[in-house]
Amino acid sequence: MKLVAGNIFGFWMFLVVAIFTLVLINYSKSGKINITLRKIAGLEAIEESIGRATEMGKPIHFSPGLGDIIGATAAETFAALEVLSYVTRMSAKYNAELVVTIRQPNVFPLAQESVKQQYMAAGKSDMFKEDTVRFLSNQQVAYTTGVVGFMHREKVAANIMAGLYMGEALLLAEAGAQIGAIQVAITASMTQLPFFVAACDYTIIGEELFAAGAYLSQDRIKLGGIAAQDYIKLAVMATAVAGALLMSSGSNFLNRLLVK
Amino acid sequence: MQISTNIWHWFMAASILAMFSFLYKENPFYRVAEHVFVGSTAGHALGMAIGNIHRFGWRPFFEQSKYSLLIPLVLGIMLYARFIPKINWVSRWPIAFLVGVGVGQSIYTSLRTQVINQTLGAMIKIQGATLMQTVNNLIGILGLIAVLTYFIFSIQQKGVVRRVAHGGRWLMMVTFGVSFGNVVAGRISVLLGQLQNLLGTWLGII
Repeated sequence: MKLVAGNIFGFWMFLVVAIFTLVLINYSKSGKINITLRKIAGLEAIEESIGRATEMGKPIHFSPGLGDIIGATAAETFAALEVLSYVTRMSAKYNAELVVTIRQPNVFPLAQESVKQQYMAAGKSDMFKEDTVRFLSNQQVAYTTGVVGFMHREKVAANIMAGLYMGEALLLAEAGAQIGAIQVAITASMTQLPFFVAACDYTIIGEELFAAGAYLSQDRIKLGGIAAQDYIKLAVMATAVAGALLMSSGSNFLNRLLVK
Repeated sequence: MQISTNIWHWFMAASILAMFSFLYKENPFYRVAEHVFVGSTAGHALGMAIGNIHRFGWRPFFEQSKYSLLIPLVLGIMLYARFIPKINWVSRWPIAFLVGVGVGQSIYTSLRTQVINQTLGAMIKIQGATLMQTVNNLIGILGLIAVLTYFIFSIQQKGVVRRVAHGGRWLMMVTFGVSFGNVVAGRISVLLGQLQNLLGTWLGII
């Protein structure tokens, strides 16, 4: 077996990152290290928004975004589904009605299963209804049109949007703002973040989406994964600075190593 | 002014106006347009899906004897087990397969594009041809450190870390502001397209 040129460094880095992550996960799982995540204010606001929906007797809307479970958008969708589990738990705790709208057919069974299981775990299976999770359309604009109409008709009190978003981000957030819903947006879609920042009450940005699952569940395995990512970020910072300094002094050693 | 006599242009104009009516408030015209839109796209997706199964599964398997397609065909059929309560657990297997493939596919590409390539992009020669270029390069490097510091979760944001992370947050907000302006300009061109449909294609004014 021969490694393809251009992917040699990537392959070895992948192995190192994978082993390092597994080691930290094991350490965290066995309690050898205690990981405490910094406060993420927007995530604390989810419970507040659900509490408000309960007081108003109006539903909560959750969207896991436009991403699929296959391909480059998978990570964001899985992170969004973790947030959905938490939202469902909170909705069961406060007896608030939850409606989940779906764009990707592949995400539908996962979301439905997740919501059903969380309600069962909370001993409130009766809160799950066939239309709690709704597939609207796999066409981006049609999905948005459906969500906007639904939010206005049902006058949702809380609108929680997590996952991948594209051009429809502002339309969804604007619709929520018009009806006075408390809005929490959680996305790593850099091009759509400005709209969420402008139109939502709380915006959880970038990598915070991926930390959300660990933060909300305080699961030791997930916390281990987050800690590993943090160390990788520190390594990236050190490499970038070292690379820039080397380049400035006339050496492109690190550049050549990374493109190998 | 030359109003179009094409029925589809009238349908297009009615749909656009029904959608625009939402600017006033949610109303029956918008509701009709919304349901027609959502329903027709869902129907289109169903048609496409059936066509894909026929084109990429059924026909090659039965007419071209590509028996390796038996695995995806069986996995696809297993997905429908969710409609039979007694055996709905069977549908979890193809979902698990899809999830596994999805994660497997994206794991290396994410590392390559989001870590290695980004790091490479940050390794720039600090001293530029002009003073402004040097300042720009320094902002690039320091900005990277500040923004990445903001996204470190397992270290509490206190003291220097807090200040650097706050700097990163400010940088992101500035970037978002620039991005907001760019996209709004893009959206105006979408609006212009619809106005062109109404005033040009339908009413023939422009």
